[in-house]
Amino acid sequence: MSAADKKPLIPSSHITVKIKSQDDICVYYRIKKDVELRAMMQAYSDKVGVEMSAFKFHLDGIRIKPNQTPNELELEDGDEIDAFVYQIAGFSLYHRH
Amino acid sequence: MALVPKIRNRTISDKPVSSSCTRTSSFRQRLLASCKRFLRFKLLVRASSVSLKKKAARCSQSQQVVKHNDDRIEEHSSSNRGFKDGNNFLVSSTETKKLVAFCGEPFQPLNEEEVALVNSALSKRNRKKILVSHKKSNIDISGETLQCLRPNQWLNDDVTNLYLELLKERQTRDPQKYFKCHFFNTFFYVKLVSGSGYNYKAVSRWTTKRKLGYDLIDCDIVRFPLFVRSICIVQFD
Repeated sequence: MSAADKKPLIPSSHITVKIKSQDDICVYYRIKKDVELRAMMQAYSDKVGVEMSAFKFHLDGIRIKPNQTPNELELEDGDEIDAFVYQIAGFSLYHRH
Repeated sequence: MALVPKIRNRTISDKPVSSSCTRTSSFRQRLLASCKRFLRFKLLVRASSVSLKKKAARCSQSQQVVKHNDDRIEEHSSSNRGFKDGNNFLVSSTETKKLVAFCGEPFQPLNEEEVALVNSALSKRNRKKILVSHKKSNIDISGETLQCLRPNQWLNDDVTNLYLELLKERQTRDPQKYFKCHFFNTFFYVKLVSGSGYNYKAVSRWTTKRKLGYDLIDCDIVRFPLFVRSICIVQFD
């Protein structure tokens, strides 16, 4: 009983976030709030098998850098991070499809 | 038997025989018009690059050259008058002053120092170097990213997003002059149509007041870019 009461009082130092790719594949990570997100991004890139620089991580439409921490971004438990890939578009005479 | 009228349609060009032939001729006219438009644009671009190389004193002369070239093309293209009305580049010879004023205001010619800066930004030496880091949107622009601004390259998302951020900043800096606007980034549409067609839930948190600092409903103009083979910008008021 006492343990159940105390649990919400102590703020947890860990949160669970979800990384969602463009084809709706979700990967969950449990991370520390005061540790840079670089480790999580690296782990995700390794899992997918693509270099980390190829991904652009966004939280609610705003780009996230690897040197930011969840505390800075005010990340909460269960938040969703989007992993986008490089986009190019335009018109050129030589590269016409 | 069926081939014979087709061949006729192709060979007889001056007298349209059937409806299909008139359709092709109108298409050809449209194509020609668009080609001329492109040529005119190209001339303008070339003249502006020439004016970059020259000194500021010579700049007005080169703009005169543009104007003359334009007039020459306009004589040939009589079918394309509608385009002329909406474009300030193509003014008649009496409005030379206006043209110079127009060219001078939004696109001021770069001075030598700025040209050197552009060249160094696009050089191979700075390819891996991060040239600009925009703090608000967390976008880093390296030399490699900027390479897409060279001729015959495809634009990438970083450059587009940063440009839209800069436009937004310009509006906040000078609210009297510009409409209150909001720009979504290039990933907005990707996210909106992810899953099963229309997915509002995925983007519902993008425009909370806490994030933006203003209500989306207060904006006069909302724009978002679409990255589908070519870029288009969708706007709703």
